[in-house]
Amino acid sequence: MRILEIGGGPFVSSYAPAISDFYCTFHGCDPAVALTRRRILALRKRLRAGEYDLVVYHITAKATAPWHRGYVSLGALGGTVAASLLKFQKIAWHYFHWVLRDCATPLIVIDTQDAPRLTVSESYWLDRSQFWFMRELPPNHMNLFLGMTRRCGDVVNIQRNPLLRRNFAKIEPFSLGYFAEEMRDLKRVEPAGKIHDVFYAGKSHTSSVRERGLEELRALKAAGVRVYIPETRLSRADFYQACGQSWLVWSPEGQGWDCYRHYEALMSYSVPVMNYPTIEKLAPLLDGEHCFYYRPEAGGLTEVVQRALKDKSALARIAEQGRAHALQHHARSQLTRHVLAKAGMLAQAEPHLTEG
Amino acid sequence: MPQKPLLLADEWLLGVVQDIDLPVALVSMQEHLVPRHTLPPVVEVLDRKQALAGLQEGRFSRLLMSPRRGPFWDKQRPFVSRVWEMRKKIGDESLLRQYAIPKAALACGVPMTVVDFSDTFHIAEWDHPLLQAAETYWFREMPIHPYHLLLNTSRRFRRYSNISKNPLMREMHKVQPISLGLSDARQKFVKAAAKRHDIFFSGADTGPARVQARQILQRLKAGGEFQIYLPETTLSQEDFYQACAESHVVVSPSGWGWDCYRHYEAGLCASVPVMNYPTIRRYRPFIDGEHGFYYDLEGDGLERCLRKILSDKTRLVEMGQRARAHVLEYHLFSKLLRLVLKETA
Repeated sequence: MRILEIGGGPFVSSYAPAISDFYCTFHGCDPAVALTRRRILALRKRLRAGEYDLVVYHITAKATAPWHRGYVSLGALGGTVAASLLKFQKIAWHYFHWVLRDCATPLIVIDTQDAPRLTVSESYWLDRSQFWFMRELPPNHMNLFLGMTRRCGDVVNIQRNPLLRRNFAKIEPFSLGYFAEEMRDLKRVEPAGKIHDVFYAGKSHTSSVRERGLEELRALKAAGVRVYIPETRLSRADFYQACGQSWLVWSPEGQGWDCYRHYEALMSYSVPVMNYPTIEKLAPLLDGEHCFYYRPEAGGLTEVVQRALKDKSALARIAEQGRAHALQHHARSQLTRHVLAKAGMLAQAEPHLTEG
Repeated sequence: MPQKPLLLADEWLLGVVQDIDLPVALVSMQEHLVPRHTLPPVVEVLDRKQALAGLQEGRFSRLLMSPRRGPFWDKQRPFVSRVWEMRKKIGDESLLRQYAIPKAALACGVPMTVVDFSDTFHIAEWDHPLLQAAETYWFREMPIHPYHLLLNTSRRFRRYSNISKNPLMREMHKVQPISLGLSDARQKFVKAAAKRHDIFFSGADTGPARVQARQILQRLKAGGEFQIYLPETTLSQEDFYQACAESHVVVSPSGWGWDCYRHYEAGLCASVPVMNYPTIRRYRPFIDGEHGFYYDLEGDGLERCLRKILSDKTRLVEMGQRARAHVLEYHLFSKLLRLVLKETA
């Protein structure tokens, strides 16, 4: 079997390198994997010849066709199209999708972008796809299409749209996951090695949940809780070390709810504390079993941190359970297996899969 | 003559105004909606011309308005279609009220407040000027992340990077959460009753969370482990309140929006609401384990939650009382109106 992956970065092809080809749609990527005109034409031939059994799109940023009339004016449209023709990467994806319409190879989309909405272009891809794995999936899936066009102002109108209605069942939750290869060498941290109660490192200007939570953390610090908030950016190794040395890692939502930090905390033998999930999740972390959830309104974080720190033996148990859960479901290699299983190709692909 | 607030109300706000106990002037966004409601004598119903004259004369202390129903000049339509649509819009009394009154209030220096009790969780493009003009913008389905209020609402707001740079983001501090609340008049349906059911759920299947909850409860009911009251038909209001009062917990999953009258109806009847995790920022929320419970929508989240909480019914009775006190203190329409009108009792 052979898999063709196209996107902002490799996902499936990282874990199945022997049976997959990856082409990048980002401007400025490695020329060896750039999706050029010449490569699209070659891929068209190969697709028509049935050389690929599965096509995977990995979306990491909003995909809107430059000719979409959502662009503000005709002048801007002209400018965008002209720029796109000069920088082919900008339209390669849409051009390739036009090629894909000529063949019956199954398409699977993995959408790991921050925004919980789809664009019009993406809705046509949804129609062509077999499954759409969405990281930031609202519990009511219809909200994915809010404001997509002027006829999608509310869910009542969205559910009347025949194009969208027939595709609701294809949408599945997905996890951002973590890169197992980065976490492989982390050493187990025993309770005696925990020198911080709560650790947080991250940008806070993109999320009001983070801004408000930081105030609560500072108040907790003033009240005697050992809170570690480094002033400068940590290296990756230092970040994992600080996670491991802390009982709790505060992991509030940023631009999306799901975050690498949720799983990195667990893999570092710590327990993540997250605000209530606003999305539907794949293999969710359970409150009190793998993590802690708090209400984002005032006082929620303080209550949960104080309650959690009262029972350190329970924290050690939760960290173990959470790590096992993350290993089983949220490693990117496992997510790749999940995607291939849904496509009905896991048995064929399994001998070729690696752990990254 | 003492000044009073002027309300420019859609159907949601008109429902809330029924419980007002302060003198206010009211203009309905749609004329035909007023006769459907029994308005108290303190409400003076005006038409557009009277409201505009009152604004000129300085009779109103504040304009409290609902979000507008639609655009006058729809930027998302092709130009020819816009011009064609104008044919119907010129002389549309409803649209004139929605656009002329806030414009006059702004010109006369009357402070403005917007309150959105509807299901939607974004601010439509035609209401962006209201966000700039208003002192406070109360929002029921307020997303946790402020970008979501604007995402996809206009051509400029398709990407986070564009939203973050827009001057409208500087107005976001004005957006405050408010609850859907409950009419004060509903208290007449509440009667003390012995707890006969463990779990009660009744509601239309609007939204996947409700469909899923009904399926789980049907399965649990067939298992016979809990006393579950799951009526097949729609109950009358009296019967609904009685069933709430007779149940230890009321399952209250989200519908089109997360907030729901049922959350507060359960609390008012001294029962414990069991809700899926909130996807919005809330006003005076039910606290997990104190006034209500929250569950994961995925898998057997509801079942796990119910099994855990129904093992201690004494605690549930105490929590029910706390939930009732919480609703009476914060979530009745009269309390919410005082909050948005900045009046203290």
